Amino acid sequence: MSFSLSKLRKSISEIDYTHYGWVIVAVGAIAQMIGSAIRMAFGIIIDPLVEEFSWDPKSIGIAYAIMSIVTAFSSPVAGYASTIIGARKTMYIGLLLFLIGMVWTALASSILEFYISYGIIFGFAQSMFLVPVIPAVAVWFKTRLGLATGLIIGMWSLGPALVIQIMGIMLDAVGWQTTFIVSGVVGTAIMVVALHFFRNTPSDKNLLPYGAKDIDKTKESSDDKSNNFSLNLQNVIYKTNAFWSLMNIHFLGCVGHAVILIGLVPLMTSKGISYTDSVFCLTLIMVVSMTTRFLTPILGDGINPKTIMFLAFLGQGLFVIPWAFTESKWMFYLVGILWSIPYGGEGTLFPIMNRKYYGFFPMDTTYGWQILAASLGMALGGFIPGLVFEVTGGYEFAIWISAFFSCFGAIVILTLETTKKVLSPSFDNLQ
Amino acid sequence: MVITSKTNTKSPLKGLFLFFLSFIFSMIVLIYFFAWDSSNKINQNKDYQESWLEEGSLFICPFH
Repeated sequence: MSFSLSKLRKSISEIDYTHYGWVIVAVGAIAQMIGSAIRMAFGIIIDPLVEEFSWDPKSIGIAYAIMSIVTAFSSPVAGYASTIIGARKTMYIGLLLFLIGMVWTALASSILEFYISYGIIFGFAQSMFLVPVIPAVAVWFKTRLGLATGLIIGMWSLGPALVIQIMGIMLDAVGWQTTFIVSGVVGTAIMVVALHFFRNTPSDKNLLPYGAKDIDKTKESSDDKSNNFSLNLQNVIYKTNAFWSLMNIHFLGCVGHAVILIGLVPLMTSKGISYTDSVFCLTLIMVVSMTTRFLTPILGDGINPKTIMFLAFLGQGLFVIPWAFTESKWMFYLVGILWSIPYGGEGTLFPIMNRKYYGFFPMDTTYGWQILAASLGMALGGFIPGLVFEVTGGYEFAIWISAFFSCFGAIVILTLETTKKVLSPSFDNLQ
Repeated sequence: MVITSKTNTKSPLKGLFLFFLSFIFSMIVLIYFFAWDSSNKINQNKDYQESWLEEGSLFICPFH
């Protein structure tokens, strides 16, 4: 134990924080925080829209569904764009769409206009803005990818928490339209400054990726991941079981936790627990899961990502089951803390798995397909609790469905090849 | 040293099969609950006009 701790301490002390890759991580983290505003701001504008336009919440909810579907299907496009024109330009396109979407949504006066501005424009903005981030960071880190992605993925929890608080305060003070316009302009300004420091690859800055040795320099320049190389490699990746299984696993995991994230509060209130206490349970899950979101990629990078991913899926599947029988608020909290540990770690290992299977490669398109599967899983999982409640009058069935999808994901992980071997053949033939 | 596996020379049949299986499971869940919902609505109101989705799910689901 002391040996492991001293090894960990030594490993941390050896990190070179002066490498430019950490600037890329910081830009990625800011992009995650601002991008999350797109999705998370939706909850706080429903009531103002109902008040101002008398639209019913169900019709307003359709905009969110459109946005999720557009994000899902445009994610591979965003990944492809990032491969062809680079992450920086793709993120600039996303930023422009983000600004148009924020301002147009604030000025929308009909439901159709709202569907276009929030549903379609934001849907595209979200994928263009968020899909290139992790693959771009992966190109900058030959080692320590786990720490780099852990820092960014941690923002998936922290970002929304901060953004919602700020937007909530602004909403009370200046109204929802001004909040949207100001957030759009300020968010865009921050990102323009941040993207100024962003570089697609270390060679753009005349540097080596973090952890690359000088000896790799000749190889790097001869490899110089050209578009042709990337597209040929992508064709090889499509022919591996791991590509389809990782997409499948991301889908199954997202169905598993989306059911809980959408259905937990209604499940608790249906058992007589107050709304405030139920929301607190969800907040508790978000806070605890932040820890494992950060730690899991680091552990996976250092140990065995397949085993850790399997345990996370199995935990996400099994720890939900007590909720089907629980009546007490405290048991909900206790199970919530237990469940949030595997839940936080479930979705964070995909960049590490991509690296282990396909080596040091531009993973934009592969990651885009994985985000497509994840978004579809979120859409299906978000739909299930409402449907189940409509027919059964309760949410217990939804809990079992969540458990089934997560456990099936764990089974699919067991069918994956070992991560100790790179699956691709000699990349020399791909130029 | 990077160790390379030869597994990618085969077609990704296993991956595609499991992907298809997940799709089927998802469809089963949706069809089952849609059909359940539709049969509840029809039982409550005999004149209920089913949508194509409800009609389709009732036709496919063996339990409703």
